[in-house]
Amino acid sequence: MTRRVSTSGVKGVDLDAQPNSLASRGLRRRFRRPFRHQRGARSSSSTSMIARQLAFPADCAAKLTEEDRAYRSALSPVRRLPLEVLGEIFKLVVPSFLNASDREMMGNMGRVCQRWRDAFLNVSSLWRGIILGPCLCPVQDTVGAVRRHEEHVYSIRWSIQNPCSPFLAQSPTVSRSAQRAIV
Amino acid sequence: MVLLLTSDNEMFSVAEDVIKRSAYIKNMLEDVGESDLPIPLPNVESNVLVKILEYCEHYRGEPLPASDVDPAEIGDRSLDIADWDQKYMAVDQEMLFEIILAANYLDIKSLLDVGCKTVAKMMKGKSSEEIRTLFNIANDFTPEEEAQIRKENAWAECR
Repeated sequence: MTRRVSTSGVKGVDLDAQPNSLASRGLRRRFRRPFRHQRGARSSSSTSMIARQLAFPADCAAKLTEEDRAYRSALSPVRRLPLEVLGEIFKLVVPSFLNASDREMMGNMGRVCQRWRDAFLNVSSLWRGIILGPCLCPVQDTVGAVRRHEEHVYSIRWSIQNPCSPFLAQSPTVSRSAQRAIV
Repeated sequence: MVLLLTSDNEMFSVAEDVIKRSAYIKNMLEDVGESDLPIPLPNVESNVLVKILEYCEHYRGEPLPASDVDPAEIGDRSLDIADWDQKYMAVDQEMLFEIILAANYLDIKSLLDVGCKTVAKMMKGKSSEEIRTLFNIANDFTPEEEAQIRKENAWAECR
């Protein structure tokens, strides 16, 4: 099947019809179409080059998005709130530690950022009268958490069924003041 | 009348009984006595002061709250906000936090309380990621720190 070769246009050109003509060689160079015996090697390298070129704007966009987020975060008005005001807000969000959904909310607020975590740990009233009931949490995690928060915990009511309590009360990782707080 | 000078050098002349809702100004007036000199407010811009004065004007004549009573101490932790206060707080986030900062600086407890309640209502029931998105906060925890916090919080999240 032979088509007429046109040197001016690209459409309708059958390069295989006249492989040695100047026009077809020019078009081959122009479109960088590899010869059949080199097609595998060249196509893989050009594919990776195109992939790299395509990835570049995506990387730039990701970097810009990240920078934009950082600037917005730095300028966010909530950053200017003093820790004690943040603490007041936390107290309103979590009125009672006894409520499971409030405890979940406490966890959410403490995971927002470092600054919020500091504010959250410094609101002593949030940690007042914590009740640790029977739970399936690993003992060491519970001990570690109480140890970390002990400055803020006024008293801990400890369920007798709790499998952690003997470990916590005798644990060398918990200070004597925290041990005394366990009633 | 009391003269107030904002951070952007705008002078406001305000009736004494209006601005006395601010414990900071009230104490200053009591300490210094009458004076023609303006009270500088380096932490408050004029557009924010206009908003603060709108609040003080609305509650003009209402009894001032006792200065040493913390609403949290007397168990008022409800998120109920009066209708007028809700409309007053229907501003963009920038202004909302400016109002809270100014109320904190000027020591207007009732306004600070309304501001904190407004923010608390916005946060209530949201995940940490949703809170970050809401307030444009960057997550500055490393993955290791996040894992550690998650482990530590597990004991509190037990039901």
